[in-house]
Amino acid sequence: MRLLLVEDYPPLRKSVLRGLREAGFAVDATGDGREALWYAESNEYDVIVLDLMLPGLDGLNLLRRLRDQGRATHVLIVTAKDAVADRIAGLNAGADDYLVKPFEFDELLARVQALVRRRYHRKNPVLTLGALRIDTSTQQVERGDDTVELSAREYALLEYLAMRAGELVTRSDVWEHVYDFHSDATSNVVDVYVGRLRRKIDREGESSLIETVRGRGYILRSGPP
Amino acid sequence: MKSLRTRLLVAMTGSFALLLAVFGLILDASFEYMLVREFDFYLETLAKTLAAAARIDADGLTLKLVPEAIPDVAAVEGELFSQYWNAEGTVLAKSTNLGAHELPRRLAEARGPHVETFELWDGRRARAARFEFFVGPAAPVPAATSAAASRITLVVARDTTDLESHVREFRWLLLGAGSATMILGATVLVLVIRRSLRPLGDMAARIGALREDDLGARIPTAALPDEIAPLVQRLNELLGRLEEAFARERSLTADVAHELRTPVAGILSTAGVMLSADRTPADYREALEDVRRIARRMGSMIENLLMLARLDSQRARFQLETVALRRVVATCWQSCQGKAAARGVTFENAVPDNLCCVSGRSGLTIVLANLLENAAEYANDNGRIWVTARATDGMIEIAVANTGCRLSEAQVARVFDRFWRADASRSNASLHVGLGLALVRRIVASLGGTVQAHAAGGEFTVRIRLARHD
Repeated sequence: MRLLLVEDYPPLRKSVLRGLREAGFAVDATGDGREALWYAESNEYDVIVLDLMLPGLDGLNLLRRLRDQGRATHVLIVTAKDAVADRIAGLNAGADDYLVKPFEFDELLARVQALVRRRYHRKNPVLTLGALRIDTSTQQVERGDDTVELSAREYALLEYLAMRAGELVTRSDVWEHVYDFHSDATSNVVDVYVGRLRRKIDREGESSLIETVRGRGYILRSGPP
Repeated sequence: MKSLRTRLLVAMTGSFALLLAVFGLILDASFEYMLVREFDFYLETLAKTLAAAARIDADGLTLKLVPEAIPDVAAVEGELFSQYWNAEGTVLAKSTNLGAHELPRRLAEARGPHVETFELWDGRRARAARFEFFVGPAAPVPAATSAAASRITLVVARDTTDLESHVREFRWLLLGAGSATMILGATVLVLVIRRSLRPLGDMAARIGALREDDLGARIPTAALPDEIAPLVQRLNELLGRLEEAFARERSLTADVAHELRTPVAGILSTAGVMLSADRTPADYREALEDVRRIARRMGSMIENLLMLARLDSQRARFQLETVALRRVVATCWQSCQGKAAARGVTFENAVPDNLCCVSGRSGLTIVLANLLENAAEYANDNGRIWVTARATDGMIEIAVANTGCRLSEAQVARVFDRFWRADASRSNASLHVGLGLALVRRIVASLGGTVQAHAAGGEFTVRIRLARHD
């Protein structure tokens, strides 16, 4: 899942960025309002974590602009403004959630994950696809009774495919949602990762869970074929 | 005598009693004067009547009338005495009640018609009227006697015991009536004062009902007396100022909370992320460095806040001493040097070597350190910071300037406000707590100086004018 982190206090941005990346998210981060607007307009983010007091362009105006452009990106406001009026203003400007500083990182993470579930119309943090069981809250993947060990990038790919299980997912979709600007990705990196993922989650003698649609993309089967 | 009611009562009763006493004395004097005049008139009339009835013949003076024979006189209380002298001073006749005594001769020797007070032989006081008259014989008289019989001096006296007792009685009456009036007056006063002061009590009750969490309440002045209305008006104004002060306090607290929340979030998040997995020592070290940096920033912000609070409550006083400005500037620059050098910012200390001023060293150090830190933060990369100072007519003027200013005129006017941040102007965001310049202004004020900020041609200058105190 791809996130945009907008926070103007460098130490906070740095640690949250690290934590989110470790949780398997592809994250772009900035501390400037105008830059954040440019990021948000040029990419399809799943969730934007937005501070309100920003240099350049303040968070609420940034949010209103995005909503005026018809963007449906889920937005979590993270701010030191704790007054009820501020929360109401934030939600009324089009935010989906509001978190007051100081916060525990785990709470921020849980809220971001909740917004991701809403983004893909899921209620259950555990995705079950046949014998495959993906717990998005703990990032544990099981196949039957076996635990599947995945790298962060592999997990991110699997989670994205699983969220859109049964749908055709194009390579550029994967590109957009699993990689951030800083990824050292080459053109065939998606195919490479899909290959690795197949080796880890598929069982010998069974057809692959990830179906390749030639020239277009992939479909993660939601049930037995 | 703290009670206004008691004071009013005492003052008014006292004045009233004094007036009453003066009035009583005047009344008493008038009454006595009238009585004495009446008394004297009676004596004189009696003397004239007696004189008219006196005849002289060969046997000497013949009194056809004695006081006891006059019915009105007989009814008079108190004793009446009369005595007649001829021109030679021989007593011709006297009233029988004198017995062996005589009226004092000096009464007869006075000139002209005369009434005076004297003391009788038994100590009683009396008033005497003298009357001189000439009488001729009713029948032809011998020549030998006629010459001597021509001028008679008559003295009529009456003891004044009665008069004095009347005057005394009147005095008692006056005293009694006066006291009754006093008591009645005081009672009325108590009631009137209580009634007049009732608005004060009402006001006290209203003020008592004011609550510290509802400073927006005001006491209506419309129905109050003119004397109390201004008082309540002032009180309402005070309430207004208090309300403003509390609002400032509240917004300051909110600002502080706001400014502290972000760094606390930074620490929490850094620690939370680091603890979520096993890390390398280098990772831990970096995280701890981050936390230390944040904590230092918070610490300096808290110090600034405390200093501001102390200055606001006037508890901080700077000790005056001779300060070598150039050296202070150099010392203050040291802490900013690293940050500035990393961005290629150059620094010039253009303060004359021998320039000293008598001022608060610690205060001046905080001011200059804050200004230099601010300059180091906001100067453009490869920019320039310079400090100049000069002595002018009793003042020391210090200017701290830096290049790379992107503040508008309106923004420059607000740089000394607490927690104001030139957000829109910053591209490279770093936590600036917005207290440094507020502190500068406050300290300069307590050092007896003024501070101004100017922005022109991309240069930001803060100019401090301090009294030299020498």
